[in-house]
Amino acid sequence: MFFILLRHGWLSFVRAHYFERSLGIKLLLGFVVFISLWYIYMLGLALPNLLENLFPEEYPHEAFFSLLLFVYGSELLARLFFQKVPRQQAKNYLHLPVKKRSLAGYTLIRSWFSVYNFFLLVFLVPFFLQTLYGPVSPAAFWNALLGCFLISGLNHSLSMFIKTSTGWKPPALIAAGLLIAALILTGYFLLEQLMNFSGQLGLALMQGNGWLFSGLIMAILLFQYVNVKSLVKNFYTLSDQSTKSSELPLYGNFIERLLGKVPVYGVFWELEWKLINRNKRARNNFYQWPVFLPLLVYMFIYIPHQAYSSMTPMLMLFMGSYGINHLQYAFSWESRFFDYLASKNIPLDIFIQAKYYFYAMLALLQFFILVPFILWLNPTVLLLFTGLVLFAIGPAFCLLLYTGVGNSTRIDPNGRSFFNMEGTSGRLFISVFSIFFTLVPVYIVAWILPFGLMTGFSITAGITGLLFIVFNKRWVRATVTRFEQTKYRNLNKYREK
Amino acid sequence: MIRVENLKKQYGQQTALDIDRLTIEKGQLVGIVGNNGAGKTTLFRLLLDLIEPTQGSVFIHEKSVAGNYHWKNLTGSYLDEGFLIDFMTPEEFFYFTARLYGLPKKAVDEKLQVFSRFMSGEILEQKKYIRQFSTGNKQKVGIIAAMLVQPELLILDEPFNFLDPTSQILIKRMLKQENEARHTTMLISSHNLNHITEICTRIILLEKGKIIRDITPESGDMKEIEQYFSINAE
Repeated sequence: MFFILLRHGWLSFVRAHYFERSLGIKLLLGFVVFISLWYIYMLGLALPNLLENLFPEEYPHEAFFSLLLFVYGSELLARLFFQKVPRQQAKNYLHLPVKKRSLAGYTLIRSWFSVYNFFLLVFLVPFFLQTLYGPVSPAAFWNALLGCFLISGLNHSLSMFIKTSTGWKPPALIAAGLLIAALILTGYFLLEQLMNFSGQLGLALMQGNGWLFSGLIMAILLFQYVNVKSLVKNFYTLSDQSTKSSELPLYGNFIERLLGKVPVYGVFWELEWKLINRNKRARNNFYQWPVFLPLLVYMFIYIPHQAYSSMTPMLMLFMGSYGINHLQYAFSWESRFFDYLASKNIPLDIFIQAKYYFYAMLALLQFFILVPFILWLNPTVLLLFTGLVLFAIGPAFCLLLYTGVGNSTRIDPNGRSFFNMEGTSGRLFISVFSIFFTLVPVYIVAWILPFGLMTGFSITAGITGLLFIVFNKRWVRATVTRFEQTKYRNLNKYREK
Repeated sequence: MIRVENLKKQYGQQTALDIDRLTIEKGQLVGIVGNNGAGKTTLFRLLLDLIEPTQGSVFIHEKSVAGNYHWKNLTGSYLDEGFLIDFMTPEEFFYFTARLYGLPKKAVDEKLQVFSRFMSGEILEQKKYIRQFSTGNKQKVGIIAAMLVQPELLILDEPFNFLDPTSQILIKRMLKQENEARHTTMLISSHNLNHITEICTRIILLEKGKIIRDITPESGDMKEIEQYFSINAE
């Protein structure tokens, strides 16, 4: 039975809806996955140099080992946040005469195929090849690699244990984890001792310390045993989503009520805010951007003014991040309830304009948060960033909304967020890439203007953006016209599950 | 109130609906019956301008539904879960819907009291999103939201599905009361002939997209419809 379940798991993977796409899209998605892995691999290649610069008195592998605990601490935190117990696949067998022990075993074995157990290896292999295989010995390379894989396995088992046995409480655990991490990294809590211990642990792994390896394997096996027991005991509770208790405010929270009170657009802003915050995929899609903001601050400090000219497409993406990331799937986010919207007397101009103003305000808010950092760290780039934020709000948002009208793929906004290809289509790639091409005429005009390339670019981008913002009613009308032309096709597609 | 002319919907070579002419007067409570694939939901979607007719038109108050919006303020509808915003609580969904129809919050609170027995304490103040409700309770939320706005035209697709017997009796009673008190025009589809004959003043039988009977229960033709379904079952 166990092997039949594994075979079913494999079939559910290869027959998943995201593989039911055209060859072109599959190739494109494969390319994106390859590029992502390539970046991680390149990071592994570059790390020895970086560590040599940061810790010149140590060998790169020693420096890395002293950070090993922090690397795997972060990995555990990410697992607690994002890794799921794949119990849903077992749910369909609960009413059949299948032993719960088999189901629990299958669930746990399947959980080992998680991407979290392998992605660090893509980074560690090139790093250890450079720092251990040649410089130390091939045995040290294999020992360190196996040791790191076992620590990852221990994290995996621990994460499964927390989620299956302890009544997983994400906010409390994450808050505690972040607090401890902050105390350690600011040096208030055992930073030096932990780094020493971490370094020795790494060296012991590299030397193939039998006790350490046995200890890791025993700990993994122990957790697996406890997890099987716990899963058998809690299967029905864990599989039943409806037993999740929720204490929601009946009429929304303060922000939702506040947005709802705004005349004309408020009703749609409230809807948008609820859509983002109450659905897993929409929420993760939206909130991943604040993580990148410190990168911008880092850029203001370390990157010279001249270097920005080659980074304008990426910087524009950052400046309009909330809107660009969300609007690229417009209007598929509403696909599950579009029949409802289409059967109501909703003025489309107001609906689309409300969406536009909502993301424009967010982009401006993000910009105003960054302004003090820009003025403090690198005031010379203020004009460029002003031009870019206006350009993002203007032509970029306009293009996404206009092309989004043709986006007829259905999205479950509450579906899982990682490796979820719902809503991804060739049309989407074209609309996102075409945003970058809109910068080409801006560069041409800037080159003609007598202010120098960067100043000319900033002014041209800013003025273009302003024109799109001021005359937004015109392009919104054009979007509405197109919307009405494609309404029936989109509605038909949105109904396809 | 509703006029359908030469209405046809085809999917490739397959005809889902083909109605030469159909008129529904204000205040009629019309039951649409037919086996699976007869075209009931297709008819409702065409009435609501959610799918494009291959040919023909639907008129509400003598204006085509395609390209016009006036009829949307007069119409309440619930066909399936695509008519629910499932990340809202029922309270939020009711207020949101009412706001689109220009109804104030106070009016919603008053109207919700009418549905208190139908909700049987399982809809309001549950502190749950609609997606966390059972299928039957989702159905109730959808029906209430459609009726809450006191529409001139109410369209419900299989409203008795997933409901417990008590709720089925209650919804029938409420539909009849609403129809008598406000002369609301209603179109209701069901597989259950008993429900339809009990409340409807007119019954339309669809087969493979065509209207094959259009009768009133009083005319005594009900036996004919029952016979139709039993012959099909043999």
